[in-house]
Amino acid sequence: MEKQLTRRAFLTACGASLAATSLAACAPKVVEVTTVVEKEVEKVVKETVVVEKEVEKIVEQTVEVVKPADQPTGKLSFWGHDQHPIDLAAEGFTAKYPEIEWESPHPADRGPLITAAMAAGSGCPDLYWAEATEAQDWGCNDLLTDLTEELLPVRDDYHPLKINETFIAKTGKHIGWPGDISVSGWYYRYDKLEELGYGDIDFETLTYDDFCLMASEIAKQGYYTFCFPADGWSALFEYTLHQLGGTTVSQDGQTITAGDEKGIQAMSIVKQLWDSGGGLDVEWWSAPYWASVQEGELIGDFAAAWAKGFWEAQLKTPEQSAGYWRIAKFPTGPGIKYRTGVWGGAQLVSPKCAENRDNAILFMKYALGTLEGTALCGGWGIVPSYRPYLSSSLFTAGRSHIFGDWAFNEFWAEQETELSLEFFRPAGWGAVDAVIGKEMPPILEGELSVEEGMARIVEIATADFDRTKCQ
Amino acid sequence: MSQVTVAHRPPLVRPAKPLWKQVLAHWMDYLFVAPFFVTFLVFSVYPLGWALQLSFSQWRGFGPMEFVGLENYRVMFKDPYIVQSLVNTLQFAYILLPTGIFISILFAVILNIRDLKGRGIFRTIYFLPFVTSTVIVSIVFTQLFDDHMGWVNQGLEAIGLEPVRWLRRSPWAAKTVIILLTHWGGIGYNVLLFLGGLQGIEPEIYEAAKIDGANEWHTFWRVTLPLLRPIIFFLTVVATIGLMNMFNQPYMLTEGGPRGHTTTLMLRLFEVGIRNQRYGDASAFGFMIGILVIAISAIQIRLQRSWMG
Repeated sequence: MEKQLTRRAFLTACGASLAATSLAACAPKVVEVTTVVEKEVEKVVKETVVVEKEVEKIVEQTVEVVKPADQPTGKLSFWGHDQHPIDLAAEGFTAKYPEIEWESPHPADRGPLITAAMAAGSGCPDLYWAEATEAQDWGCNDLLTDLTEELLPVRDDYHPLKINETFIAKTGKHIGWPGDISVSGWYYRYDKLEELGYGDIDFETLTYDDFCLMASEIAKQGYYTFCFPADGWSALFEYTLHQLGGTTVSQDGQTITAGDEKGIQAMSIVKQLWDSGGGLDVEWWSAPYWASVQEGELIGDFAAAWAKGFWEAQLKTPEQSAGYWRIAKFPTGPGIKYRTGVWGGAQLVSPKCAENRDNAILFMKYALGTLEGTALCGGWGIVPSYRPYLSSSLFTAGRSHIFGDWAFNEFWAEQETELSLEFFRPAGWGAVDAVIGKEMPPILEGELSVEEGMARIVEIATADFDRTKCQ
Repeated sequence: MSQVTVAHRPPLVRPAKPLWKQVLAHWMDYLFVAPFFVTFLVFSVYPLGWALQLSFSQWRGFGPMEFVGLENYRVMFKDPYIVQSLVNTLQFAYILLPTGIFISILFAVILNIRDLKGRGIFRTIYFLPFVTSTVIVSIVFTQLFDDHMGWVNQGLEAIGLEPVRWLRRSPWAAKTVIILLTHWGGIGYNVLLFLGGLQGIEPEIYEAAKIDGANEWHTFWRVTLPLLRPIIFFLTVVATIGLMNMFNQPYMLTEGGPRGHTTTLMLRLFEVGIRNQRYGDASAFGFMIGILVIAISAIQIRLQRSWMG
């Protein structure tokens, strides 16, 4: 008998033992699981019987009102940013439809994640809070549920701009439900302006020239009237372009129009704002931004209506300036047609790969198309674009601790009528907007004229735009 | 003369077994090495092949993939931001490499002093940043060098100096902060390697140098440094590859600003691929970076061979 164990024999024995152990470990487990599952199934069946009995009981009591067969059931998943207003509407929705289970995990990398899920055709949320350009991009690629039949009968309840943002020219379909109105204004500290000798401003006639002069004078006293990061801030360009009736990209999404006459004029206004020195060079909504607001150094800013929710979270006490804020229309000037701007303003979409699309549509209609739903999500800070809500006391009576007793929503209701119908954000808009932000500094610093700078922006953005526009 | 007849035995030639028979004969051996190769094929070879195919196509994550030939490579060559990011990356590499190696050797020599008290504690302290998350450290650096609230500017103002717009306005200041952060995080590892190298040098060599009348300075230049050459070379190659892939520091501190002066190749790749979802362009760009890194490494290896004799 061979006494010495060779290396090969040892390895063979080890490998065989490992394989045998693995198989042995797996095999009985399957049997065990099967047994458990069978037991669970039995249990569920028994529970179902009980539930049916209970339902019968309910039907006996309220037979004319509730039809159990009509009660939608199932799940509904939603992805958006953290602390989302749509989650507030979900509370009302699940109370109304208790058989629907709501979940909103809000993954941090939801953008790439939903793209991957839509490409794979599985793992999609039922609802997604999509920016206008995202919805246009996905809609163009036929990845979103067609809502045309549901939306067309109620289209007059929404501002045409918001309806436009849900419409895909290529397919002729509406693929989103109008969400946030995204109107904007100039937030300002009225107490500080009074203190600095600007308590009697006539905002109706205030021009950009007046505004820049005021901003410059105030900056000399150590206060800033808006945020202007030195590495570029495309929001200011988009605001002024909207005011002039211009658009970054044409309605059909095939041409970059940022370099046209209106684009040049918009950038000239932005440069005027920069040259005034009234802008505080901090990253938008960064820790130093909020510190400047709380300390009373930054006493104004151009921002959207939906910003309120974020401001409320940062400014909680009068010492942090809560209660001293007001909002004014954007300044006017030659060529300006609208006194507001658009920044953000997402909509609800449902990917085609969603598992509960009927529930998703039911939710959209509730959250963004009823007084009850819009009042719930509107309380947070977004301004739902549902016009019956905007004209109701539910909206206009709204108050916030950052504005004190001031009826700020009456202001936003007026601003809604100021939205341009010539401003579009189709697929590819994001590519152009990113380049505008990046290439703004040479224009602001005077290294390039506005005309040269805008031509350069169009040239640089073209490659990215051509690849991301709706083909 | 007697003749000796040598009987030549024909060499034993075994008929070659077919591959499957060979595999079958050694199935247990293959079973043991299989996990690595399966993982390698699934997670390295397949994605690489897929990325290569993607680099010749236009695809945004959904919809059909369109073959475009070399179009993506052409577009990437014309992208002005890519040229800028290449210049920035090479600048970082040229500053970080020599200074990093110099500082590491300096610290290693100090830590190698026999009578140094608390040597172990110092080693731990130097190595600690290497195992700390770059993201967390970047956040701390952002707070330190913030224009308005940063401690560094507050310190400068306290001694009567003008505050510096570290991260948002001045290109050189932003680059300096990134270099500081990279050194702070990477020096500890280099020091440890050099320390190992220093402790591997035989004391007899130093004694011989001393007998020959060499002072400390000569000993360092003529004995220590030449004997550390293999480590210097290893670190140069590894650090170059690391620096060409630099991402965390500029992403967390400046997001490539001010005005793109700290955008590295990897940051631009992230913008093209992840932010803009131009997967075809990003794949082409990725291969271009890969080829560049291989070329630089090959040059370094050539130089090292001639340097080491």
